[in-house]
Amino acid sequence: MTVEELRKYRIGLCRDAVAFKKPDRTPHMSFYITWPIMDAGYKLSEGLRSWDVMEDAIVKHQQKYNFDTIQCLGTRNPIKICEALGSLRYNINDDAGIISVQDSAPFTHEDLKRIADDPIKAQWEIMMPYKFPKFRPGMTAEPFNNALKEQRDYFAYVGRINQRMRNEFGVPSAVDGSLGFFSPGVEALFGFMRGIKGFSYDMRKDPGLVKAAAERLEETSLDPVFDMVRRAPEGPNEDVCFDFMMLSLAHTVMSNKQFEFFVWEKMHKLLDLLVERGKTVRIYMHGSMQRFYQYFQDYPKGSLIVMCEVDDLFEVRKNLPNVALCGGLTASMMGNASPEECVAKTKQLIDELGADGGLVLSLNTMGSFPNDTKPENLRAVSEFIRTYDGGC
Amino acid sequence: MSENIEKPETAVDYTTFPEGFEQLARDIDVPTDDFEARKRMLVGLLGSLKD
Repeated sequence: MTVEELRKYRIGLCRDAVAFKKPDRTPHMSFYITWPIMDAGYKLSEGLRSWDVMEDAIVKHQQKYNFDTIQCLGTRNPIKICEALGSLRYNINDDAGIISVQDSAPFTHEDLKRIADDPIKAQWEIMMPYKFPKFRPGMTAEPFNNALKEQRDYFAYVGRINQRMRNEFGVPSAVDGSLGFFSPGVEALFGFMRGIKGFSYDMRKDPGLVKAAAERLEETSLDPVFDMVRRAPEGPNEDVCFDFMMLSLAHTVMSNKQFEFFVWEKMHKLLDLLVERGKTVRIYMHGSMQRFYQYFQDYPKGSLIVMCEVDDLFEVRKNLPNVALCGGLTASMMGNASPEECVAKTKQLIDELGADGGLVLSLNTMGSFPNDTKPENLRAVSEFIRTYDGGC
Repeated sequence: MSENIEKPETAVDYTTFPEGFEQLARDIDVPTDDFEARKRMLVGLLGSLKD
């Protein structure tokens, strides 16, 4: 098989899984973020501060474990862009292999009005001086030039690593980036503007103001995605594994009623549009999906795949028989069990949940810490998945 | 229509908006003279600074 044939084969495996078509075998997706840096023998800080090191770590990650697709190619933490402006929010512990980011809530409840009025102005006047020590009256353009250079280096790395994966290893892109991403305004409010505590307070204090701020942010972050999807060719993009990615974190602090008010209205419309246009959607809702099954039960079989972070896959299958599943290889198992135990569990998942498609195996959560997986377990599981066609 | 860059005669505090933001857009070292494109680059950078 040529490299290009291998890439097409892998895309076919993923698309067959979503479509519940009996696959040649079950596909295996990497869902590791910073774990590959340490696995390649580098310190965490070396990988996060050098794209050459990160590239080598990702290449070794693929060479060692031979994934069918890779969700994150080392692009999750472009910390050097922020550090160029003096950010001190990142704490990297090389001994433990952990990066921690200080919780950030630059905006007050009262600032929501300013976000609703002009989000760029609000970020410039409130967020920038809060987060960046170099953003002070009298500053020169140099820190910005440095940050822009770091951003260019980051984009160059993204292009380079994608090309290497495609051309040298036959690894297809996980999603079609040309359609944009699901970026509701509440995610920005929750994640970096108000923080968990502030956002939770805002939803109760003045939901209308939260919605106004969120909708203003969505004018640039989400609303254009609808047109991008409408303009894209109808049907699946056969050059990638999944057509669209939806990631949600803010729902973890919402009641279902709040979820419907702040998120589901547009999420529903976008999902409907994507499905109507023949696109497949990978949904990653952090935490448990149990409270949210009802929203996805009516979509046609073959259109959605959900990442199962904490829920048991067998339970998810019972509740969402129309939706393909991603995950299954828990960090607790991959980091603690023996290779034989990991392979036995993998076999059970394939036999009972993937024999007729509907399953993409991956770590259940973003693999970040050294203890998230023992290398010998990942080697054993990867080898088994590649060679096992039982039930298929 | 895009506006070409004009250098100011007096220093502007970059931390103000929109004056400082727009002056910074004129002064940053990027390979385009298109003022709107320069502003978009700063907005794009803002997006990278959120995390």
